[in-house]
Amino acid sequence: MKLELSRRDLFLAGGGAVAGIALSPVPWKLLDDLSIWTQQPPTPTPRPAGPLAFRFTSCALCPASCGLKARCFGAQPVGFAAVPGHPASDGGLCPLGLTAHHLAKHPLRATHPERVSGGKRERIDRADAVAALSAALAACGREKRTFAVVDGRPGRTLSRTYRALAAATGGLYVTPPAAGAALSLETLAKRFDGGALALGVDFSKARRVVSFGTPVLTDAGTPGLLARLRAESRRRPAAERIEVIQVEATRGRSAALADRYIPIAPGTEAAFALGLAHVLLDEKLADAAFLDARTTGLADFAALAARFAPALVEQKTGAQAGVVTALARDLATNRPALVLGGDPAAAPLSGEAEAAIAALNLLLGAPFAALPVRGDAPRATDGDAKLAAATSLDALPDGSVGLLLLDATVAEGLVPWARLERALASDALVVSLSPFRAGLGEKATLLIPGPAPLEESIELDGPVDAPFATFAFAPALLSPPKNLVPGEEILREATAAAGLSLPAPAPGSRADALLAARRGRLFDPAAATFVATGDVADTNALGELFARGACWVDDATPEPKGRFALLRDGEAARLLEAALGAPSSVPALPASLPREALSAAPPSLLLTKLTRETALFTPPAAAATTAARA
Amino acid sequence: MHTSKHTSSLPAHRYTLVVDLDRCTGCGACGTACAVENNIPPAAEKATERTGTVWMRVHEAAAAGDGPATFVPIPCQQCDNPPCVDVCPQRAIEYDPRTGIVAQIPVRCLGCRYCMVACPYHTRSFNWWTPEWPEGMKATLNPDVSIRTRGVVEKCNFCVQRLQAARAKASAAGQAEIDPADYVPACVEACPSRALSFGDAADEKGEVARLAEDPESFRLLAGLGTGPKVLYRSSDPAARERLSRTGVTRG
Ligand code: SF4
Ligand code: SF4
Repeated sequence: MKLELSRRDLFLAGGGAVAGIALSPVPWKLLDDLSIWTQQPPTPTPRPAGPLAFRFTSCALCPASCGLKARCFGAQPVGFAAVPGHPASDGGLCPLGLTAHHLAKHPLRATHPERVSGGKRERIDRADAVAALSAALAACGREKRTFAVVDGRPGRTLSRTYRALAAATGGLYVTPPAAGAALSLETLAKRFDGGALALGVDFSKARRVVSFGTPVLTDAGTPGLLARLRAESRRRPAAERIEVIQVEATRGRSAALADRYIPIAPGTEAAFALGLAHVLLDEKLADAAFLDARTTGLADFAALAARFAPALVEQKTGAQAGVVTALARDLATNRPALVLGGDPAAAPLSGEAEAAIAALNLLLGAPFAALPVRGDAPRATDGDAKLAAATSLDALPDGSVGLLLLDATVAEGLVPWARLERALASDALVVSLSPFRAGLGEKATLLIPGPAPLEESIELDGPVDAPFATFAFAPALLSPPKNLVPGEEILREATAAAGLSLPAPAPGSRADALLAARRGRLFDPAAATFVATGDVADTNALGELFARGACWVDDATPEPKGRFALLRDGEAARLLEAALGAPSSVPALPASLPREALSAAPPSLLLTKLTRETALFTPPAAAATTAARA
Repeated sequence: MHTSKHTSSLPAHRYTLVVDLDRCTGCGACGTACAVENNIPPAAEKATERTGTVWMRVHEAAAAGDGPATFVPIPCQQCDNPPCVDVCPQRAIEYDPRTGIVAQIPVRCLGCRYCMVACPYHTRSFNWWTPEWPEGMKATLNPDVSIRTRGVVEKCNFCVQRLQAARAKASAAGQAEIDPADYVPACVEACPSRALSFGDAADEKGEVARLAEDPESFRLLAGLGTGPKVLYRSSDPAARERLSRTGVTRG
């Protein structure tokens, strides 16, 4: 038989084959294989050398000093978690802390000294850096120009070197001013006549927290502490709940989250606080027992507050009179209540507003309850060395500073560059001991790089507004780059070259002081247990504990004897004038990552990404009321 | 209660995340921890806003009025009836009948993005750009999670690598079941306000099973029948009503 194949048959067979293959799994299998083949990563995820281990330290990015549990492969941390039960952070970490291990590799990291002139950045070697610094130090002595050193974390062993340097050059040793809640506490403590006093904030003891602009729900204390306490309390009966009332001109994130947000015209905080005081005194709602036992000057203060009837407060602040009255009554019924003021990242409140806030805390009986007395972590004595005392930033006369030395841990949010710049002479040299070309590191005319976060063992005092003192000697998790010369070495060499002498470093002196004081307990993060400081055998044993990431926590401090002044001499007139004055313009607040303003390091790139790709960190809005009525 | 169309009954384990909206401050620690744990790259410079990869999105749901703002963290809702699975021509998404976890398989994904259209929660992202890790930052990557090349869809998988590690540990110890403490996703571990709880809802005595029955708990877009295993909880009835009805759109 003859097989006759027409062209038509060929087409039919071909078409049938194509259709048959299309209906079979073959093309899908091919597509699948092709996609798998094309999607193979060019490189697998690199595995850092070494076995998996967990190590403990503390975060040095802001004063909260949270405990860190690092997941490490060999020497490389690849992730962090909080340490449950840690005395400084109680199991919290903020987004900044979670990315601390990225910072050593940040694109803005500097590892060599750099000189900036005419906007040009130029890498220099160690000898040039030493020469430039020593020449500037010598010039300060010769030409009688002021040398000033700004220290972001006073009380460290390195701080002693700075103080000695300031003393040797006749210069100034400047520490960051109190800001936010710390400023309110400092103002209040200064009114106490029973000796030096330090107060902290214990949110767990409060039922009402009034905040005049302090970002209490996002930034105060350890991350989320008040927010967590408040949320937990929401499931309790109404009489046991914690409520947060935010009073400010800008609806920032804390205001948006607060139980109540009371918008007021900018700069009218003093008038609003005096309005609350008026209602408390007028309706006899203030804490009479506390006022009798622990304050002076009630009559004068009552006369001042009497002038701030809610109707006048409404006129000045834009907040309705009924709101003022209701809030005062609410605070009186729901004690313990406390009042805090000022945003560390924005402009601080005026002295008058802080004075009115201090008086309000006294009327509410807040000291020693929600505002407990606290100690400080023991410090080493100064010894025989000549050391300069701390000076306030405001003591720097304009245009006076010829050489400014900025320590790496200074955050621009705490030491505003605008204020520092005013103090500089026209040809001043600004030396930044910073691992980054960012923040205050960016302002340097001479940048001397230091170790990045986690690259140095560092002494960390907890925040000054915590209810008790903490201290951690946070061990380093990373090693600094091989070619990095520690800033302190360059500083010492330059000092010697300028013919000045500095006392030798005194490592371990802080640990000795801690042991000698025999106060407090030590938290061991690996075991999640405490040991009494008195039970630690010696400095070596203490050193071992600190090398494991331990954190010291102070005992409770008893109430001291003495009284608070509701008003200081001549203050009533100043307060009256300020509270009756015109409101200021709306303060502009930038949207920021939590605590960014307090961190001396730039945020990790991952954080920048999240800011862009989620709805987080929307810019705060100016309140609707504001100056309309002013 | 939901049954999955992908299994005849509920899975033996039902890993569930409960988000307490009363506690969330929108601090972003969950999203940061997620990015660190899962090797999600920083946005490429050329990336415009909100086009990059993000597995845990935190949305501000209501801050315009005078009431307190609500922040809503949104990972993949790990649906029991996941619409994404059905539309994937590549079978690059799998519903694990043992755990209820909806797994994304990057090496199979063609990047057709049908799943992104099908997902009513907008929890999937397409990674448009080749990951660029700054010099040295590669050393900080989690070696338990691969780096994905561009062109695939990504989403939260409840840090399934941690489940695998817990299983390996349990099997090495000769135990049939994992220790629940060994399987905690990164977001839950990181939350400073303890707004996130995670666990096996099939364990009736567990905290998560209790929270799932709480009258204040609800699901996003509950009416769609997708059966999410991410539950939300709020003491505010208005927020519950609004979110369970309308969800949160990407924005
Ligand atoms: S930056 Fe501050 S708040 Fe954040 S983890 Fe570090 S110490 Fe804690
Ligand atoms: S949330 Fe979206 S991506 Fe996740 S399982 Fe449901 S449909 Fe799929």
